[in-house]
Amino acid sequence: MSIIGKKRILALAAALLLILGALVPAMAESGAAAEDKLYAAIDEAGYAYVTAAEATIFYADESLSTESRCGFLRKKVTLLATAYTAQDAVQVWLKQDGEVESVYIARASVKNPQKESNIVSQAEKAGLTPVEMECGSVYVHDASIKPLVNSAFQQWFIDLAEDFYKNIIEYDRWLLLLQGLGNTMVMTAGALLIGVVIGIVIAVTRSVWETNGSKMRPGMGKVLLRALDGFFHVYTTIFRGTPMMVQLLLMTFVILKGIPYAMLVAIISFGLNSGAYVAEIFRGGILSIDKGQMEAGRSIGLTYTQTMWYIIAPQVIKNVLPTLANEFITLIKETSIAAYAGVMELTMAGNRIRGQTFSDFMPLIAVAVIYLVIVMVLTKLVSILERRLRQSDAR
Amino acid sequence: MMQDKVKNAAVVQKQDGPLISVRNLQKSFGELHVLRGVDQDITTGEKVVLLGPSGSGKTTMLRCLNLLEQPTGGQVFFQGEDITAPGCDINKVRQHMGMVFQQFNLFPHLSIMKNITLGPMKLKGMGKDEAEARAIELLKRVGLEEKANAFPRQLSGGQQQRIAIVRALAMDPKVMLFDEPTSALDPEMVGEVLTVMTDLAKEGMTMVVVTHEIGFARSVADHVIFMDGGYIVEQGTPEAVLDNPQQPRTQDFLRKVLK
Repeated sequence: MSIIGKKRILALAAALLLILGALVPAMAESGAAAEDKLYAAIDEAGYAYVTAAEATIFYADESLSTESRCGFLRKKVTLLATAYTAQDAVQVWLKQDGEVESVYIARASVKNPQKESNIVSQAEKAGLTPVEMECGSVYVHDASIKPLVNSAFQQWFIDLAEDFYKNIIEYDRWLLLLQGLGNTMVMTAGALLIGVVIGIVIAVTRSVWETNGSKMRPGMGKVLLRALDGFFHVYTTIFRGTPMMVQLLLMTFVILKGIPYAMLVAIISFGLNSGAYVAEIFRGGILSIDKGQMEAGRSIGLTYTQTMWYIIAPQVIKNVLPTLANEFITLIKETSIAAYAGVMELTMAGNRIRGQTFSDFMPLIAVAVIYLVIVMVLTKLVSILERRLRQSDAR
Repeated sequence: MMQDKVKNAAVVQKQDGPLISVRNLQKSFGELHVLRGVDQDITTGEKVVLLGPSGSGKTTMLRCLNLLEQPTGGQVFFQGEDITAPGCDINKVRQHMGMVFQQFNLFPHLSIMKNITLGPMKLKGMGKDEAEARAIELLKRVGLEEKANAFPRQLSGGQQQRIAIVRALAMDPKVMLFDEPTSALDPEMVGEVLTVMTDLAKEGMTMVVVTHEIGFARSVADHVIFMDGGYIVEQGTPEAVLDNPQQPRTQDFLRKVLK
């Protein structure tokens, strides 16, 4: 058997384990070497089967004649078959003494005369008799019977497993995704770090100006603060008012084109952009603190800075922490456009696999699932964090 | 000789003069003139109650005393020092002027103990043990020593306000400023706060109180000031101002309040 063939069976086994796990023990129980060969032949032909134990349920009613029991069985099997397409052929295999051994259902689309004849010969060696049936001619409504083997679904799953193997497992392509994910996380964390530093500076400057500017004595300090406030206002306007993609491309190909590290440029770009948003988060956080807190701190004799540090900052941090964590989650998704700047992040990794395997579905779905899982896990962590913070509020 | 005399006079003023002097105090918010020139002396140990309708300037006047509100004109002297002068370190001055707010303004992220010890530890260089021992002592005085490790949100309004008083007292202030300390309280909690304030008055603390509690003014105040429209309309002993007001506006106000 070729390498591909072996791996195909590996993928098939995975599929069977996941969806038809119940059949595997039954298969092992059947024991006899002849039957094992039969099953192998069935497998190779792409057929599915139900075991004797399951088929016997259809055939257990002793009050019926053997013939009607066979007929009843056919109806039941036909019911199973109606779950597939009308072109599907159904074969029931009986032992010579009339007792049902197994029921096999084959999809017409995978019918292979050569392989089928192999099944027939193997069945005869195992002491079974074939009974031909036609599909779609009989319909029995019986809710107690559910399709045990859905070969259409099974085939879809096998295809999926093979697709998964080809795009993720083969040639260790998952390493590419892992590397991409690593870069995505590093980029996000770096950008948020820059964003938080910029954000705090902007937020503190702007809120100081907003609350105290009018009360300040004229002088250099006031002029400087006003200039900074104006500058930061322009900064946030520009970075929040233009698409991230445009900012990234401008940074990569114009402003920072001297820096040869695409990732570094991307971190700076996302950091500068995030700073504008984080600034608004912190500014809102600072302004949300009752002004009585500042007054109470100052009335004791604390300086403005001391009050900010001991009284305002701890409350602001507690208030903005969940929002900040959400900004992190947003950033994870946003950094996917760094692929356009040549960064090997998660989306780019998926794209590269697409180029190698010429499949679209699996690489893109894999990337989407990885993003989704990470975002869901982080969202859950944020909600735990929020609950903790609320608890300490009530304490 | 002459210079000595002047110098002596200054020293005398610093020691025996009023604790707080307000001279021609003015405050306007844009076009709105809230204080139109107020003069007032407050001596050590004196209990001054500021009365007046809302918008009369009484709260602004109180907040100008520790410069939480920056006056737009006039001067405020504390122990003879012009605290409205540009060179004055207002943070140092405020360490000697405790303030209690209408909304308590306890620090919600800190335990009661830390609310009280923050000031003494950060500003007076007091050690943790000393500051906490002092805090417990003060908490006992207001009957809340078992709340030392609680957080502000776990306390009732009345309890929070008593803690706020303790927080101010922990700095060993020379004067306590009260800005409508009972206005935000449920009626049944007003009493416990007024009791603490009355005890404080009996111990000789200098107090400036903005309040609507006429009963408190009558029993505790040495001096009652009635303000309206940014001016002091009438002032004097509680008996004079509350029981025998001379000005029609004072009479009108008291009639409405006491009704």
